[in-house]
Amino acid sequence: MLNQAFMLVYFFAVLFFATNAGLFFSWIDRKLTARLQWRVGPPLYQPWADFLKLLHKEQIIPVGAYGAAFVLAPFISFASVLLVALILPVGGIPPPFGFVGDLIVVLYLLAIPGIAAMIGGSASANPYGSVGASREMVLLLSYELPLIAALFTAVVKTGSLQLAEILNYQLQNGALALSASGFVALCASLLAIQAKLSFAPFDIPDAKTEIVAGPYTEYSGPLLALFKLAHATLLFVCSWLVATVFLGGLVVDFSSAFSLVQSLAVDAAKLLAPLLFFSVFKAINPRAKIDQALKWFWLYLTAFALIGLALAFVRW
Amino acid sequence: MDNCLVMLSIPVVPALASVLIAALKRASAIRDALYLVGALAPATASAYLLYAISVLGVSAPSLPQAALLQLAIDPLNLISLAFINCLGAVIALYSLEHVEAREVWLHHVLVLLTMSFASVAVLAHNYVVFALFWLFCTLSLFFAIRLSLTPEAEKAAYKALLILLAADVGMAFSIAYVALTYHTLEIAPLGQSSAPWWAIGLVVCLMAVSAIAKAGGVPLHTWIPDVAAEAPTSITALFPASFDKLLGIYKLAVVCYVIASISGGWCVAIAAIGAATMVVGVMMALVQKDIKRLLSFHAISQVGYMIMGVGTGNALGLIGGLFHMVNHSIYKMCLFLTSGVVQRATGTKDIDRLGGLAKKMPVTFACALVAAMAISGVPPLNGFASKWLIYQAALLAGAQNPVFTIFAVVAAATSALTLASFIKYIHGVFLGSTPSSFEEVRDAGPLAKLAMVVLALLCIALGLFPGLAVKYLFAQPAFGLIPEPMHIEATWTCCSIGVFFSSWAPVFATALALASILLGLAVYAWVASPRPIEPVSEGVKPFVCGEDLLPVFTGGHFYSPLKELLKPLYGIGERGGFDIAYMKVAKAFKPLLRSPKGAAAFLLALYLALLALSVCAALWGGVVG
Repeated sequence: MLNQAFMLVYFFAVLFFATNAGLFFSWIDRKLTARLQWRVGPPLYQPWADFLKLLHKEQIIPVGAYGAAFVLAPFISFASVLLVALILPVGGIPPPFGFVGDLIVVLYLLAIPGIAAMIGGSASANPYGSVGASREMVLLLSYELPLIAALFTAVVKTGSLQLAEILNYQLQNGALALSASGFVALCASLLAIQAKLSFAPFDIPDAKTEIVAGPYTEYSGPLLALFKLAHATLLFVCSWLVATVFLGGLVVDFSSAFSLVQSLAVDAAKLLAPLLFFSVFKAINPRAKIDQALKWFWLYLTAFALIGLALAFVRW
Repeated sequence: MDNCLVMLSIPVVPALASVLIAALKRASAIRDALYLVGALAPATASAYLLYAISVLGVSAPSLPQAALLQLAIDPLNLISLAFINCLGAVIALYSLEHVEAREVWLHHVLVLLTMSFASVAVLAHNYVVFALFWLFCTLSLFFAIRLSLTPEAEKAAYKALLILLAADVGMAFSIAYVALTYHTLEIAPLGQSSAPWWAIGLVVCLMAVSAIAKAGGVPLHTWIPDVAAEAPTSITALFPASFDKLLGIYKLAVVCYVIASISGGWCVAIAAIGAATMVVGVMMALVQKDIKRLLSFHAISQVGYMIMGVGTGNALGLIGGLFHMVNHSIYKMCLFLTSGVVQRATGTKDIDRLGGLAKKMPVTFACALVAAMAISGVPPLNGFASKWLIYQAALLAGAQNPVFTIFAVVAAATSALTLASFIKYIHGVFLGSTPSSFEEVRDAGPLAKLAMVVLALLCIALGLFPGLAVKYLFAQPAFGLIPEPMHIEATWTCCSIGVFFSSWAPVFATALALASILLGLAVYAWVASPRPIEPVSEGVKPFVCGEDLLPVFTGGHFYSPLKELLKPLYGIGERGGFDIAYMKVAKAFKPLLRSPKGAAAFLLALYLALLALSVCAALWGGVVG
């Protein structure tokens, strides 16, 4: 019973924390991009204000759309991101939702937001939605290969498919990113996740100047708000995943007040580091074309990630 | 003894029913009743046996050793037996209303006979009985394809027959060799003998090749797309999607772990065939425009997972491979049935001419979506559970031999490509814009709906309770065949089986996800309630930047960037790829194989002669011994 109560508390804590942290991360991203582009950028409360504003806007389901899939898509997207946040471990807190082989489950769950966008876009009966869905899918299958190779590098290094075990391994042996293979895998996974977030240069599925908003073209009001929230949470969750697998993981040390503050500061730095990469890389790159992205991911990044995997086998 | 009768009734009842149907021929209520009883009775009997043996622990029935047939149930063939009959019954339900076949009675007879033949084949513990009924399954596939109304069916039927027969003749050679060397026809481990190692290796190889050809592994897969495109839907859903997997992978497991005991390089070779099959299948599927061909290439690609699972050489992989075999039979059957419903309703299977059918046929769409997500391995459906086991098994084998880790990466990437291909199917057929000619389209009839819903529910149930399925169905045969070495638990925590049962708990995760979705919908309803959803009838058209025309983006164009990138490879596929190689082989035998009919007769005669030789050898051995 106590265990269930703890799980319930953990669930709501993660729900609250991950969404708000996600909105905060999206603010950092927007502010940073703005400063890099010599603009002022939004105030801190802007993502929350945007979310609440969208909740109160009217919403339209266009003629010819398949309503059920159209409405459900953003909920499925959000629920899958939330599940990933529940599974990701924090050192020092026993992971209530982690289990053996959860890395593979996380990998699959992280594909669901993309699938939801495709289903939603296809169901909207909008040709831009269809084009966006097609691009989303091509992008997904291009980055998935190097991402899998990069994450499996961590599996080979640590000998475990469980995130909590990967974290423990790093607590004892130092962060994976400090080894040659780990560093290669880190770089590969950062670039693959850049595409997962559909950040420039891989903002191809919802390319604003080309296909309106791709799969999201017909979304408005609360449904769009939910998609945006899911995307912001995804930004946070992806940073968390990178921090967990390659940067030594998040640890909360309760042994003394000082060590608590210190560990939290280190955790924040580990979470912000991937975000910084995503944001800056986005700000300084123009959009690629979908065939360029496919070629680039399959030929170059996959080869790069496989080098990492090979290095892991020779224990570098 | 009672259970022994139940076991015997499984092949006998459908065979009797088919004889009666053949006598009746004409459409009538009696014929339909016979068809249903003939299919449902063995399904019930096999489900009962499955429950009694696996769950209650009743001892498995077998005929006395002296009886010629040597039929017996063991933990491994129980799986195939149960699903052959249950899925056969689902096909009977589906095809009761409508069959796109020339002669309906013959279709029914063939379906029932195949259930019976396949049951005997998996039950047989005697090489010759097994080989005979294995051959009968191939022959009924051949005749079933020819029931189709399309002119190309004849060609597809001969192609399937020739490839399968050629592979089976190899098996007949090895059976004859075993009979000559060991003087026994019992399917049992090949013990010590004076036979040279390479001869034993060849025997195992030939048997494995015929199993892989049946299941549809590369390079012997090319008959499947042609069959799928031409044969009646129920036949496609029965044979390449389901029975051929349940037979082929069962036999591969028998060859690898009962007859031989593979390890090392053998494992790598089999897993490599699996990986190649996955990639070839899925890459070809991505660019198909005919929905049935698209599905058939996945029937090939998914076999790769099963072969790879068997090839990992550890119990976890065998569990995963067998589990995937069952899962695939279920969701691929469901997908083929949806494609049949769509084809019948719209008169086309060209993805470019389909679209927006979700509103017209909601039940078919829901079933197709569930099955498509299951085959793509989206949690919490059944395809995910078995793929998850196979990845773990491959990574486990990778600890000894790194090449398995590469195979695991290939498998995981194939899963993403599978998803891609099914997004195309779902989008191109059920979502997107609706062509105006489909205004009158109706959903399937009640029995066809029932068949599809049963299959979709099975996908969900096996996905939610994989632990139970593994515990009662797959763990016993796998651990019986491959005793797990102890050191694994020390290095790889993921594979101690005790931990496994307590791990991936999809019920809980799904409940959580559903709860959060419902919570979200409640909040959404509350937020949106002052401003109700804009009624569709008011007519807000999709936003296309003020253009008049609605440009239609059909499923066929989904992966043109991919096709462009891999142009040289696809060029080979389009020119006939593996078929060219067969043609070259066939040319060498030209005097013998003047016509497909002659070639089939020659192979058939050779096959039967080899089996007769084996019987003689075994009998002679008995006399001498």
